[in-house]
Amino acid sequence: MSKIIIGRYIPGDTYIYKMDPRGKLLTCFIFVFVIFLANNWVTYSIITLYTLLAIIGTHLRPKVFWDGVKPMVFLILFTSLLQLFFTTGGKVYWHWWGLWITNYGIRNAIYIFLRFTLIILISTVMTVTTQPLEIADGIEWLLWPLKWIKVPVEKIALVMSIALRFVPTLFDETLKIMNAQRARGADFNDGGLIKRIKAIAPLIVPLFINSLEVAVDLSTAMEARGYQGSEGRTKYRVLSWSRYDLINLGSFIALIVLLEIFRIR
Amino acid sequence: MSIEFKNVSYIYSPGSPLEQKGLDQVSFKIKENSFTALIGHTGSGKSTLMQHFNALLKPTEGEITIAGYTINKDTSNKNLKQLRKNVSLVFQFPESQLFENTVLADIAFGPKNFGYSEDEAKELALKWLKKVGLDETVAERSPFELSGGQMRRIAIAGVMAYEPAILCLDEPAAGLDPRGRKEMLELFKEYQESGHTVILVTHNMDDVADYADDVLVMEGGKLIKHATPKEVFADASWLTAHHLGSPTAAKFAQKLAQKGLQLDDEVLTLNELTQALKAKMKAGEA
Amino acid sequence: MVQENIVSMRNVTFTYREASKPAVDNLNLDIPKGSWVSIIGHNGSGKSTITRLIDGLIASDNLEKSKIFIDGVELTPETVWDLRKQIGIVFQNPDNQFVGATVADDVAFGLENRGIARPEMVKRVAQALKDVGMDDYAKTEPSNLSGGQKQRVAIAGILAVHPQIIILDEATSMLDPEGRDEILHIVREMQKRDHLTVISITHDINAVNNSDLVAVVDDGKLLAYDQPDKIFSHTKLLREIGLDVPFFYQVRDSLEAAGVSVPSSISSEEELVNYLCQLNSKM
Repeated sequence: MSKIIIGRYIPGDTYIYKMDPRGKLLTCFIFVFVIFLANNWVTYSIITLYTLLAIIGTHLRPKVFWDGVKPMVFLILFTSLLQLFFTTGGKVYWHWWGLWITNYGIRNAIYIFLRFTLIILISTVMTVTTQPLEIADGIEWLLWPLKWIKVPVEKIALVMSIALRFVPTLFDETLKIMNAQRARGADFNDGGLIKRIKAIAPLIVPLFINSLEVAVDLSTAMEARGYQGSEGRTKYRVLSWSRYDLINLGSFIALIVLLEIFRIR
Repeated sequence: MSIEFKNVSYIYSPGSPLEQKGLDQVSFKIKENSFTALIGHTGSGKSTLMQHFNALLKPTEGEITIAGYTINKDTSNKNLKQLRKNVSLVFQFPESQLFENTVLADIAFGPKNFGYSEDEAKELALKWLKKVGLDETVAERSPFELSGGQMRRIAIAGVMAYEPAILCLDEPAAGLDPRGRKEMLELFKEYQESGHTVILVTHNMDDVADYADDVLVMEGGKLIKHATPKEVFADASWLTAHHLGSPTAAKFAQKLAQKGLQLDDEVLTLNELTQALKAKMKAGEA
Repeated sequence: MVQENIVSMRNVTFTYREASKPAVDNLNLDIPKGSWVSIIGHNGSGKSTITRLIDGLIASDNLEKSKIFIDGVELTPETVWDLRKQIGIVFQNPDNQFVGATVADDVAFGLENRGIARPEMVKRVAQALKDVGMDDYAKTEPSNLSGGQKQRVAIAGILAVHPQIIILDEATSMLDPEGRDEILHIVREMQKRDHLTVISITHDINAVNNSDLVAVVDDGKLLAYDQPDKIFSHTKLLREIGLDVPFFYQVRDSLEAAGVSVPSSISSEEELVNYLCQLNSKM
């Protein structure tokens, strides 16, 4: 039963899915800086609207995005609360020892909250609509300039793609070994910490040994198929820009322009 | 100890986009001390069924009675030790489960888990090391220094060492050479004859013909036939329709029949074929 | 006509590190161009080591004494990469040779290594996938394929680079019977179409019957090398080294033992069936 989904990709077929991974990665990356352009209610509304439109464009259930935010909820709330209680200036509503609630504080807390949440939401849009392999291809492209300083970008890319390819295989293998040891009376869930750590050996040792075996076999197979390093290799998988990327580019430029116009200088 | 399945269904990843039916309303009863073959092609639900025997998977629906346990969807994961001691599973390519520093320690892992003392476990391990056809001299060696075939034997010894009442094996001879295959199957036959139940998951119809007395045929998660080997292999067109093969001897008899030589009995093994041919020739002489 | 050998091994000896005796021991073997040669032997007989030697993945103990020629060219550290382009190997474990993240990527891997231009690559990948009947799966990830399908992809990866030799290194031993038959059928078809030489390493005696030649290997030594019917007449020898003989030989021997005599000239299943039917109708 080797049907697992790697990463958070959820199959779909909207225009966001059809965008080139390079464009999506770049948008995500620059978004982190662009969000600092927002500094008043109008600009924050604009960027929130942009994010919401992206979410709607995936045609996925809201729960998917909540799942993306959930692990970060405490960090976001904690940071927002720090802003709320430690920002001074403006009108004071409440004051006790070193803690203040002021109108500046309330505003900063909301801004910080939005900034965090929107960044997570936009990256979730990227990860749920882009296959891990495409992300790896996109990263390879983004890393291209590093070739100037002799970083083996092709090798890194090949390693990434092989790693992705073997995730489900290793997952299956883990499940199989776990079941085999359970059948021999091993218990992975019971007992205290020491007992549990000891119980892990029958799982970890075979997994490690099998992985080594896979690595040896795979390197033999690669050599037999003529792999001599990345020099002189051509590429079968290529990325290509399409009209959907114009939607990405156009809307992103529109966002930046609007933020520039409406922000307080 | 008999095994009974009552309307057992199993669903993989229920409620997710990958939801899939593994078993569909499976009911049967296997008699104690039988040698049952479980056949069907890849993806037919054989492995899923097998994992229900010791509650690695629990039915989504229905109920299983096995070795004094009743297993249904509410069965807790606790207190399954006695069940797993009595009903043992050998997965495909079991050599990948070896992990101990020495061969003996690896075989003794199961017995120790199931409550045997250190000494008893060692003793059992040594006994089964020899039973699977390995020499005592490998006992203190690392299992990873040995050949693939030897590792397979060690893994199987590790599961048989606590002498389960029901032994269930998934393609235990896959990849072994003909002699290794035969030795392995003789070992399971002997185990059955000494008063245990053996369930063999296999693609090899000759093994079914040579060793089994009962056959379960799976297809698409359903049990489509439960009968003796003679009954299962009697209908060649049914077998073809379900992408199942015949034993080599039966195929040979079919070729004879096509050329006009009809044997009097249904033959499944080389021995039966020889006897039937001999009878035919002798009858002709008389 | 002098038959041309595509592989010639001369006095080849190879010993694994820390092993007490050689895995391949002074082997001499000639493989005629365009033939299907099966190399049989029990587990651990050294037959897979032969594959690795032919492909230059391992080097013999003494390069002075041991010589391997591929299509007339001696295998040396200088020629190995070029000669390897002539050879494709399908290994035993379907998972451990699947490099690409998808079916098409995997088929393309060998082409990428050879620096083939992309338009040509696209054409060849599509054709190779069609040849093995996997054209509907181009974008499928390996975890969603069966073992037999993965081996078909491995074959496509080999066909795409247009080699002269295909080596099946126990390529079917981890598959179910249906998968095994499919693989053998596809390789047989491609051998005929592309005039390939096939070297099949196996202990499945039923996969051997259609070979042109059979080499029996035990303890790293070549025990016999001949046409299948000649090889299988040595029933005792094969049994001694842990191998079986094809079923009709078993029937023949078993009938003899039961007092029904069968002429020793019978060397195929069809002949035996015909003989038994005749015997029956005469009575």
